[in-house]
Amino acid sequence: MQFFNPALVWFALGGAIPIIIHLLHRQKYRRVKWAAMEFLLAALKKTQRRLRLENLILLLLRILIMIILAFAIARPYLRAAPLGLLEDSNTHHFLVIDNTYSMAYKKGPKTYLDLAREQADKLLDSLSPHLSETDKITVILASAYPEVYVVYASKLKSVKEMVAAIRPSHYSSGMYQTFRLLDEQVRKSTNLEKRIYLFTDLQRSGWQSLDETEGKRFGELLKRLSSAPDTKISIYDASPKEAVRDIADNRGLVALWVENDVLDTKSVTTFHADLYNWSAVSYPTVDVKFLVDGSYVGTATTPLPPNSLMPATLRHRFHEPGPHFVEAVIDSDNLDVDDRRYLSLDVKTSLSAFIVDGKPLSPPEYSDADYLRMMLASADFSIGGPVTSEMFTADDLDKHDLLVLCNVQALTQDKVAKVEEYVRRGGGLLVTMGDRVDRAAWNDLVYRDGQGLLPGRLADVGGTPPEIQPRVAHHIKQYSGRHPAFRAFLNGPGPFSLVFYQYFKLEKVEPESVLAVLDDPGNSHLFVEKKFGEGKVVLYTSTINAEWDDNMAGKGAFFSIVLSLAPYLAARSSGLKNLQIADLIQHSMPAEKYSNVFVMETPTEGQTSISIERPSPNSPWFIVWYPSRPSSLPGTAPENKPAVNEGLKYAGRYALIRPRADASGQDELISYFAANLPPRTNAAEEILRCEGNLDKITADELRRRFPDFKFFLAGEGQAVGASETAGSSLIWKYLLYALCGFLGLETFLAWFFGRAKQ
Amino acid sequence: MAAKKPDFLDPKVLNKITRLDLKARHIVEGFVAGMHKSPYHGFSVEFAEHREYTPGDDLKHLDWKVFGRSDRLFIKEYELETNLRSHILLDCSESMDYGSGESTKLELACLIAASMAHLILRQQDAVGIVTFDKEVRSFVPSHSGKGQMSAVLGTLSGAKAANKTDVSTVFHQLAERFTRKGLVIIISDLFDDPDRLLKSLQHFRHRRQDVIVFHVLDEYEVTFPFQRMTLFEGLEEYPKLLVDPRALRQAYLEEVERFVSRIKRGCVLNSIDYAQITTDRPLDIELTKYLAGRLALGRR
Repeated sequence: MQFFNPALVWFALGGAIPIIIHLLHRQKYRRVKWAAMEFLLAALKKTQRRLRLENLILLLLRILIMIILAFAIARPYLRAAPLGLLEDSNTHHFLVIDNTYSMAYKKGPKTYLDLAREQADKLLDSLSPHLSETDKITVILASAYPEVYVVYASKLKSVKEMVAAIRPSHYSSGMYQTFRLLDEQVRKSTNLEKRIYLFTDLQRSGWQSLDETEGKRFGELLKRLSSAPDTKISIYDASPKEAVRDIADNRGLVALWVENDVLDTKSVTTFHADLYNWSAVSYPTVDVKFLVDGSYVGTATTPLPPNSLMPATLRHRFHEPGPHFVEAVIDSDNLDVDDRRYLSLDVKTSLSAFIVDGKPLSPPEYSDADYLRMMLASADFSIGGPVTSEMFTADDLDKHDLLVLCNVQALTQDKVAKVEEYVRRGGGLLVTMGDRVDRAAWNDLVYRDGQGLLPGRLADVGGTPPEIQPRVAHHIKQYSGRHPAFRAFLNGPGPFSLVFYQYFKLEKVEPESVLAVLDDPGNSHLFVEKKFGEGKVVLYTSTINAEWDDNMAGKGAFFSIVLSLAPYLAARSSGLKNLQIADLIQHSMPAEKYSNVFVMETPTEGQTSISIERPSPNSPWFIVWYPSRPSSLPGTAPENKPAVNEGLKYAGRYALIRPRADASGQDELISYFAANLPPRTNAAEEILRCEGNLDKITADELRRRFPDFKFFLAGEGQAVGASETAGSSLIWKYLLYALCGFLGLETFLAWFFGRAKQ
Repeated sequence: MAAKKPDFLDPKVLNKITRLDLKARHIVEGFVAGMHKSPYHGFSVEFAEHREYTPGDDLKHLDWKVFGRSDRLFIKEYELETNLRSHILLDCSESMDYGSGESTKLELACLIAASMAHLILRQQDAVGIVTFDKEVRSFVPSHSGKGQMSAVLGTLSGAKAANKTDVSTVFHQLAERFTRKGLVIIISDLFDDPDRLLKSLQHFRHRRQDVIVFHVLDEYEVTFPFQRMTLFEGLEEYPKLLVDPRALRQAYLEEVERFVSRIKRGCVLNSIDYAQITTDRPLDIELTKYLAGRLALGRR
């Protein structure tokens, strides 16, 4: 026998209370001098035996009542009711149903989820005759973002209806997350017995952990949960027994991207779609259709051997600037949710650059800003400026894609803040050095101990000043050949012929941010990059106009670098617009676009209203969040983040629209957002781990991987069901009944004996 | 025989007697009003005593011889011959000392005794008083003189409950002692063996005594109303008893009832008058009720 409250059993010592009361009672009496003793003695003699018996009965009854009361509040129970007597059902049933998108795989007319629902329904029917008032049912949807779907229902009919209404999500599997939620629910349960039924396709990736630490925790969790004496776990395989290799027809699109840095109406954009074939079936050709803004624009064809990643490309020219939405689609297979891929793009007419000249010169001398203006104009940039440092206000930078600061002495704190914000929101920044640069001011305000825009701290000026002749020439020793800035040198000689005499040395530079170094004794940095928010900064430590260099402006190699670097810097990252499931849409807009009404067109719910956050009435920008503003701030440690999905739930196209104030005009499309299924990249590891890979884990493998995880495996039609439940006995309930009975008996006997004494 | 004079110097005694006497008078007043006097005028030749002449006394009783000898006037008082020579037997055993209310059984008994004495003397009959416990404690012979009441009262005032009871033995002794036909008035709780007691009462009857039994009991002795755990400390050397009275009540009352019924039955069978008087009832009513009943039956 066990007790819910074992410590309370000590109250059984309260059985001594009636004895103590009896003894104390006898101590308190009144004294009476009595003349008629003879009659009293005669009466006593006549009744002594009966009185003793009555008192003993009442005393024993009262002791028994105290003991039963103590046991009853200690709540004893038996796990196995003896001989099936006094059997109670006090079970909490947890139905854990996998509704990740792999469960949408169709086997014949039914999907895996249909099969899982049927199994769950059958199970509920088998439980039905045995369910008691104290039994509960909870339904949990299993995925990387598990949720409690039905809480503590005791009406079977409503549970069945809710199970029938479960639809596949676009989530990936996450058994560790699911079991964590399940564990939380099991611990909250006050029922005597817990039965867990997991309906899943046993997809391998769902049981894999991110790293060793998580794997260890997962194992411990499974062990603790399944080893509890009151808990039994059954796994229902909702997928057929064949391994993935036998699954015919499972292929999907795993990536869609463009190779251009800048998308404009002048150049041709190349779409790249990557396909993967998880099955053993070989496809000689697979057609990938491309749609732009819902219109078909072309098809790319590719063969697709088994277990291979194949690209499909299509070239397209955008005729209109603005936001565009691209879809890549292949013919549906048995899992059609990953047969589409989406991409949001912003197309420009041309790029725009704004140049600040820190040392304006008059012809025939030209400054770095003058040369850069010419170079960028030849690259079809529209140019703003150059303006002097004093004239530079740093206002309206969002109109430009690239800001160039040439040999600027210093910037005020206010201007630095504006420039930082501009870059953070996706703008590009190119900084060239020179003799005007105030090292201390730049370090204080722009480097700011590594928190600012500069990728390194300015140290001394290295190299040979002009007054020392001959000047020592330095060349590029090494450069990052794969960087877009040096794309031009991929198939040819590098820019080693360029000569530099002076340059700012840098300190505290991250190695991975170095793009090119010189051949001086210290291998000083020449080009260094820093990603700042959504934007990029490149620092060029020398000059262009021959003050510290050998006339870079006239060098074709340097020209090539600028022509590659400028569009690279100017290309606004589309990362905020091309998202994955569970990502949040966060879009900042200039204040003039503000409206108190914005809507989001979604792939599943039509148009829905959205949250708008305006930092302050005077703020030059505001942010739109969808589905809603996050409850935790960016940078919050994962363990402190809420366990629910606050982001996008479905893949597809999202369109941010500002409704027109008057009915006559059209709604304004602000931007498109594309939400895709995993993988986030086309890296092989990610592709193999993604939900589209239906590779199964067998029960034996599961047991090998988690040796302490105890579970029953129920195959198709083999339900564990009701025979595993109940059998326990809540003794305390019957003790309470007995207690009531004894109390009644004691009251009756006390009255009866008392009546006899009247 | 002259009655023993009470100690009038003790104000307490005095108070007690006066009160008793007054009470007794009051009790019997109504009865006396309807009473008939003895058919005999109570004229006895037996000289009792002298007393000084006071103006108004009947001169025919003047003792001339004493006058001649002493030149002082004295009246002769004679022992009146009555039809009734009665004895009041007052139980003064320790059990009579019990009382749950304002008065004990003994006090009630004394009041009954005084009342009966007063009544008898008013009838010009003779009355004596005997106090007893396990033996006769005091004996005042039966007389009818004026001082007899004082003697009775004096005995009553001195009566104290003590010692065990042996009613039957005392009664047997007294029955032998009473040679002339008369009336025996027993005032007692009769806490003795009923068979022995009845035998002793029968003895009185054999000795041509008319017997009236005033069975004096306390209210609690007949109702036993105790609720709480009680230590009963027995009088007359009985042991103490700690009991729950509620447990014994029924059986006790049955015992008492059986005892009283036995006595009553025995008295009826032996033509003995029986009256139960409890301390909670007004005595005047109880006595009046009894005496009226006795009158109605034509008995003295």
